[in-house]
Amino acid sequence: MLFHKLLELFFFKWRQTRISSIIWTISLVGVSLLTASAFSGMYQNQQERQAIAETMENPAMIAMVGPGYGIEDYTNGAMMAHQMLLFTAIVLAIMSILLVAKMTRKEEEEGKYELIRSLPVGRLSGLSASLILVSLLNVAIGLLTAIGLIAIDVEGMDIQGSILYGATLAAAGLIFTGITAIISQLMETSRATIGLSIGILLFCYLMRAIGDVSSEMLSLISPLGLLIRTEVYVDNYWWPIVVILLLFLIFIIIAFYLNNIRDVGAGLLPSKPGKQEASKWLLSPIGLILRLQRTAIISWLCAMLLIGGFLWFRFWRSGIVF
Amino acid sequence: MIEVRQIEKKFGSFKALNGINFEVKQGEVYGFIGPNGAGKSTTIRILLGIIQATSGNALIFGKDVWKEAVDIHRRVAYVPGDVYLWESLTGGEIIDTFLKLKGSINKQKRDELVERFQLDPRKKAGSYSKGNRQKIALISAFSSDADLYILDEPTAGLDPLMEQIFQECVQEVKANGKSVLLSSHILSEVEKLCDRVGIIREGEMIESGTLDELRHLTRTHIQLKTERSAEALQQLKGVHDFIENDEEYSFQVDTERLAKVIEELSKYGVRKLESMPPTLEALFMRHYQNDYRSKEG
Repeated sequence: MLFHKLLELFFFKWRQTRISSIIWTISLVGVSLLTASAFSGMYQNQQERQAIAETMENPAMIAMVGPGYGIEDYTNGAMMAHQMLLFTAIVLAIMSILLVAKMTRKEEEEGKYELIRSLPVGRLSGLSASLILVSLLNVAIGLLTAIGLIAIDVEGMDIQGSILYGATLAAAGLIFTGITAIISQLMETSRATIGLSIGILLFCYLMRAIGDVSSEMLSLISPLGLLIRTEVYVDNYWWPIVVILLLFLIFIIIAFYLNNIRDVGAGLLPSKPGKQEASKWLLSPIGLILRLQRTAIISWLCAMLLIGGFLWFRFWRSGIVF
Repeated sequence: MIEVRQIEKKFGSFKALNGINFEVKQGEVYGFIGPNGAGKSTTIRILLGIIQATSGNALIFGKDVWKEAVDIHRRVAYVPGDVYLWESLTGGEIIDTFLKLKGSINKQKRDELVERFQLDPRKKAGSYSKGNRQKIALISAFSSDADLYILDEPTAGLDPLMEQIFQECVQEVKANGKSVLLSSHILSEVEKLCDRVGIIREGEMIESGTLDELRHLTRTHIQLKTERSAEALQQLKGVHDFIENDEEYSFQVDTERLAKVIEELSKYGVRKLESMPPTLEALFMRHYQNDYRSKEG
């Protein structure tokens, strides 16, 4: 009875998200395929590619896109996997975070889910329908990317590598589907759910960046670090995918368990009561504007500092600045 | 139909419900009244199995509201006070989705209700006003084949004309032997529709019974003109708020002392006598004010 009317709810949710799902799919698959075909035209021969490989071999680049593998023989495939896979995987993760938060916590926050639950619908049907939908979307994007890469048949991108490339993308989306499913049980609002999930994603990225430069172990704990250990188009390891899928299943089970024991509308983490009175600072026009934009200002500041730091590090390594 | 026994609900350290008891019988309209924040919606959410009671037990159709929610919901229709809908779907699509999830769509009944509530079902839900969103929930509820209707302030946002139609709908389902739990703070509505009422305040049931039973607890308002001065009346037991104005007297009498007071006032030569029956509102206000006073004292 926990999953009663699951199929009906699935199609109900599909009805509302089909347009955004299709747009996500076309954009993500499109970007991967366009980049892959551009690589073959961008560098005419192995020497040019090898020159690029040189520039990838410094800590700043490694921190940004991951450790270089297949550097000695930097084929189009190795280049694609090295420079594109991580960032595309992050976009799939962000997509999954946004969609899961929108379909679960936001529905609940807005009181729509209460109406659904007053109908003969199982307690876990809503969450399951959302998770199945986002998971299928991730698998579809991975599959279409793989098929597309095989179809355009760029030199240096073999069939097995292309399949693994798609699988790695899908796995990145799936693991963050699972993480967000748990977070949306803990937080009371969709804003907080998205905030914390994106925070975890950033944390995973930074942990991998530090790990890739200094200690391999840190990278392996981060799902993103683990996923680029597939070494697509060079060694084609499948074990990271298996580990990620197992983690995904565990996360989903935890999310189901938490969903089953909590009240609709409540988050398992208590939300703090806010301030009762406005401070003097807030009551001034500048104070109000700065307060309303606080999160945006802080996040932009951090992003700028990070990018600046990377650039400075790169130039410092090459001796241009001190 | 509904049996609620000693329900308690805590949110963290805050006790929202503190031992709620009541019962709704078959074919009965039960009014559930109380000020905002008293715990009406919390109780209803527990009945719907959306939140879980901390202790106590609640049964609908003799089944546990949390464990057997799916079975219960097949025969229950719910209308919340704030209806939020999926902006990209039309009103008609949403009504059909609700009915389909519930079981089957009775097109004739649905179309008849759409007509009566004067809803344009082809508009997207995003463009509906609050009243129109409310109508969608009401139409889905009354065109489904339910045995129990749980209505949580269902007329918030409806105009008086639509409220009239809502009241007709409640009377129709009652005539068909269905039960209704109507939470409201529009007391005239409760007075018109309900067989029995329960008053909840700060998470506790403070009164419960038929309207007539509750009226014993209230005061009748009397306006009087006499030939001789009737000032002595204010000394009588059970007379309150005695005001004299230009040989007209106005005062309130405890309902159980009414016979005695009428007997007494006939001695002064009655020239005009008006009496106003006790309203639910007066009862409600008295409970509320008593509480206010005791808090002050």
